[in-house]
Amino acid sequence: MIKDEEISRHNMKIVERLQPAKPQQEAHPQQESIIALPYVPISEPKATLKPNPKPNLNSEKTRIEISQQEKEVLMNIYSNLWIGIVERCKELNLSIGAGSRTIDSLIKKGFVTPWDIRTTIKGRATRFLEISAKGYIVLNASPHIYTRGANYPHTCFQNLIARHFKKLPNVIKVEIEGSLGNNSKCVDVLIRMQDGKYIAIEVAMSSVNEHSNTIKDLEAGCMAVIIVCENAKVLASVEQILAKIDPEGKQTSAVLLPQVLKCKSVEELIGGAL
Amino acid sequence: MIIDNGIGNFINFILPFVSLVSTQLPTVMELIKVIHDNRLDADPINLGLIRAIALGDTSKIAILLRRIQPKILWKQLCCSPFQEPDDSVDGPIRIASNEQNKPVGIYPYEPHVLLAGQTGSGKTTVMLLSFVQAIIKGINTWLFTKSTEIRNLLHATERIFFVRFQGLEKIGSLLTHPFLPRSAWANIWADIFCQAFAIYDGTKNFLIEHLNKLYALNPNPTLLDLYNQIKNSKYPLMSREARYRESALNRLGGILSSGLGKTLEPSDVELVNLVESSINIVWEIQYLTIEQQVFIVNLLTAWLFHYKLHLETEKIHFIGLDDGNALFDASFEHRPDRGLPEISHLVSMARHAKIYLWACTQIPHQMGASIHSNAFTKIMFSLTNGKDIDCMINSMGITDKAQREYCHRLKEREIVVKFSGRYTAPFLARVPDLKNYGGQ
Repeated sequence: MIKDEEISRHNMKIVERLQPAKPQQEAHPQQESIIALPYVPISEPKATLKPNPKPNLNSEKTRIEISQQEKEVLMNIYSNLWIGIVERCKELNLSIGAGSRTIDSLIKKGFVTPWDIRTTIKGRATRFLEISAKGYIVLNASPHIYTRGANYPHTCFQNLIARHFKKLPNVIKVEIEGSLGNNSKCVDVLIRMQDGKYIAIEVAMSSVNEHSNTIKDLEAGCMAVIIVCENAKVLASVEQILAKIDPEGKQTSAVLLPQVLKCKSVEELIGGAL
Repeated sequence: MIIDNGIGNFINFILPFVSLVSTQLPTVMELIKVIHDNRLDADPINLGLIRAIALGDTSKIAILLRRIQPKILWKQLCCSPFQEPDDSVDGPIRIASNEQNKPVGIYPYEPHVLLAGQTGSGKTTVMLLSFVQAIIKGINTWLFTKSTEIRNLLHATERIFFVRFQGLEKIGSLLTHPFLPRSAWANIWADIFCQAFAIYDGTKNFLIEHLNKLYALNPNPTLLDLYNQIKNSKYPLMSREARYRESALNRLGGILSSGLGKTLEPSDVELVNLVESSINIVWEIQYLTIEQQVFIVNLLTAWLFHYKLHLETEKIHFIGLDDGNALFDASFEHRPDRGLPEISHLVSMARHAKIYLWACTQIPHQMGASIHSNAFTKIMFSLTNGKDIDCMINSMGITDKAQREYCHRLKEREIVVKFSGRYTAPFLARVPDLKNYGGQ
């Protein structure tokens, strides 16, 4: 019987004979080059959460190169944007070291933009990844559309909050960008409790619109408004605003994301209104 | 008088001659019939004697009978009850030799061959022999096989590519067709997918909808793109769409994580390049699940059918199926809820695209009607199950009792062949023994 190795050698010969002539390109001995696409410049997202290292796009030549493992990780990021590196490595059956190295390589090549978001009170921030325009080109896939023109961290906050609230008791519906009526304002995350009460959760990247947002949510019929702030600075200014609207703090509350993700019931965040 | 026992056939045959010789002289027409039925008309002396008898010389009758009787008796004692075929059974692709050691062959343009026989009876050997001859004659071939025996084709030609479905060879996603509009191919793809993986109409339409959406975003999608596209779609948990989504993701996930998924990845040299370059392909499907085997064989056959139909080429293409039951299983035709299988349509239409199928089976009674009805050549090897033998006897239209009985005791390498044209009576033949040649 003809062995597998002989068949492989023979197949290789056929493939080489049929392969179209490729233009010469720089040798990359460490990685197998599988995709070659024209370089498209991208604009860097504006955010205060901008972490290190920054994607070094200036070093790009006229071609984009990506290894099979990098492509698999990129595919995984595309299919699930809202998980951290540890969870992602588990999904991909990769060790955390190997996964981190691949992700660092993707960041260096500019396929993804990292965002360090603090999800726990103690410990390090969790690294989330946003696919860049260049990454979408490599995947040959349509870009994700974030909620109502918001940027990645805002949408990430919304998704993390929604995911957490779905697990809590007495919550029967969690809706991102939900609204109470036809003409009423959309709430970042709208929660419906078992007793029919609605709770609005607003994500505050800055305190600029939070005064009007809180009043509109309360007018629309929400029993309570929880404002999840990006950092302590925003939290302090939002607390000042809320003190004017609801001095007793029964209907409104300003918190940081780790507090939200730690809570085991809605009452922990806004006990007065419920 | 009819004697119906073991030796009865012999006596029944002898009786007319006894009467011819002893009681009354036979007529010219009776003699002509006997000579013709026993293929003794090739002898010019016999023809000369018949001519003399026809002109009134009755003394030649005894001479003629003395000439032909020993040959007829010998034939009756040593040969099968099948008639001796004429020379028209020979063809350019030779598969066996008949009882008189004359070649039996098939013409490449005679659509579809069905080979039925128990394991080890020589089906694959005959198919391999035929395909080697076909390749030498410049006919393109695809062979779907579950054994590595077919790898010996490499000794016959260098222009052969082996796809082993272990991720070592990549042929492209097959989610698009080079000639068909994307929406048309999406329908065919979804049809085959749903028939192979036993999922229902709802999921089929769900898949078609997502495939069309995917084409709008990405003209050359991969299976992973389709998987992601469906995975990223959001439906209320209690809705029907959520069930369809779950079914589709489950099957696609299975494909993607197996060797089939890795084979259906994009590559520099894809299926279309191989076909354009007239490379013969051996598809080793033994490591796929049964459903995946059905899916890929159907999909590739459909792909080639539409490819060749569009090109309107006169070039013949052989497709060999080592285990035809995977594709032509009768149960596929007995599902009114799923409609007629795609392959039934292909078998009846493949002739227009110059695609000719060679299907081997060990269980012919479980084969669908489409191949039994459309096979020009039917070859029966030794079979052990009476149900299978009866199925083949009926399929070949063997009505003679002695012939039917003989089919139950076919010896090693003996085959019964039945063509639907040229020479239409069934006849016995013998396939060559390749064991003496080391299986090569």
